[in-house]
Amino acid sequence: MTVDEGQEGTRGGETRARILRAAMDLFAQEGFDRTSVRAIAERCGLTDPALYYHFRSKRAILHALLSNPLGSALRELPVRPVCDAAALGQLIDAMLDGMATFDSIARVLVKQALLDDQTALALRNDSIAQWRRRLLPHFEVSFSNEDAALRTDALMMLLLGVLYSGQMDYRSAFPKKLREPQFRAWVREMACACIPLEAARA
Amino acid sequence: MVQEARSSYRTRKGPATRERILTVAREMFAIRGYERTTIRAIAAQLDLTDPAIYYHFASKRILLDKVLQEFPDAIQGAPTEQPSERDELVERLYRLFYRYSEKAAFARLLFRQQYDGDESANERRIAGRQQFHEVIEDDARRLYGPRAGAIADGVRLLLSGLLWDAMLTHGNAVGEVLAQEAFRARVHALIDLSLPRVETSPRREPSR
Repeated sequence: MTVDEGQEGTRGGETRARILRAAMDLFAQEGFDRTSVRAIAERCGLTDPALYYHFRSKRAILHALLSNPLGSALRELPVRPVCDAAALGQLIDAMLDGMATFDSIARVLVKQALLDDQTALALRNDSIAQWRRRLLPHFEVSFSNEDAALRTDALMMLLLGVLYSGQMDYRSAFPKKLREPQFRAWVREMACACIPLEAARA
Repeated sequence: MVQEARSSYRTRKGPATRERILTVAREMFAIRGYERTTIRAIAAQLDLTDPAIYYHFASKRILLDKVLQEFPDAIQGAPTEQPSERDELVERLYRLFYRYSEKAAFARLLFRQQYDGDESANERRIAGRQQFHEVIEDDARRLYGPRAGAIADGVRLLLSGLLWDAMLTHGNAVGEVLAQEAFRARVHALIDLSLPRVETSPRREPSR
């Protein structure tokens, strides 16, 4: 599982990735509020100042955790010329990859948001908005603004339904489930059945 | 006026107290969460002592179960309707979504418990899932044949995602947001999009 991106291969990038991984584990186990910067530093064998060199604050770590896997899942996806079943399948694969990577941090955010933690709420809403922004262009190639926005909304809500119900159904086994070809095929089938697309061109 | 209201409470104290406890518990669980709500806080809100609460409900857990039990009626109480054409099915799903959503604070409490792994709350979720399929199964099969399963699952997860997303995005204000005209239009448009239009005669038996 790669948490980091952009600086891969450099020593700074490796340390950064190590911090993010340790923080993700601790946030998932202990919750965001109960995890100290010191505990994160200790877990990756760093001093506090060394950690602060990479991240200004605990919030900054949470931010980086959130934007990284989600962003990378959809960011590099080329927009195809036509929004057909193949294009939709590609989007779904990228989103399911993002969810599998994002699973433990998503749980922390949802739990905190359900307890009205305003920061968790804002971060979670930001990341959903980010997904939407990245999905939209893939639909805009084939549909008017309004129709593309509606399809983006439908795909987003369907995938959130898959995410939350999957997390409740499979608990900690969910990331593994997300990577099973059969599970993916089922998600693709639902999406293709429920989101009208441009017919594939012969 | 106030005096009168008080004395009428007194005359039928038993059931009234029980109902008042349930009302306050429902609100406090929904707003603060089950873990962070104490029996003492519920008692304080009602001007009662802890033992007075325990007289009606032996434990906080039993109180939660009673509160949660009120919820699934939303779907169970859905009237069984005549076989529907595609457009009628859209309207039926829309009404079903709002039967579920009109008790938004409730739904949010239930979601929180389910997400925390509460077993009885999750049993309710599974039961709700089955009931949803019972409500649309026959029509979906008649309208869509072999695609019915994927469509029913897809619409169910899309609507679940929509409700859960609204609860997370809007917190305790979710009830008001769901009632807004703009949100209603969004729900309707999403259902209308996700139930495919049927071109051939819908009465024909689907080929298997």
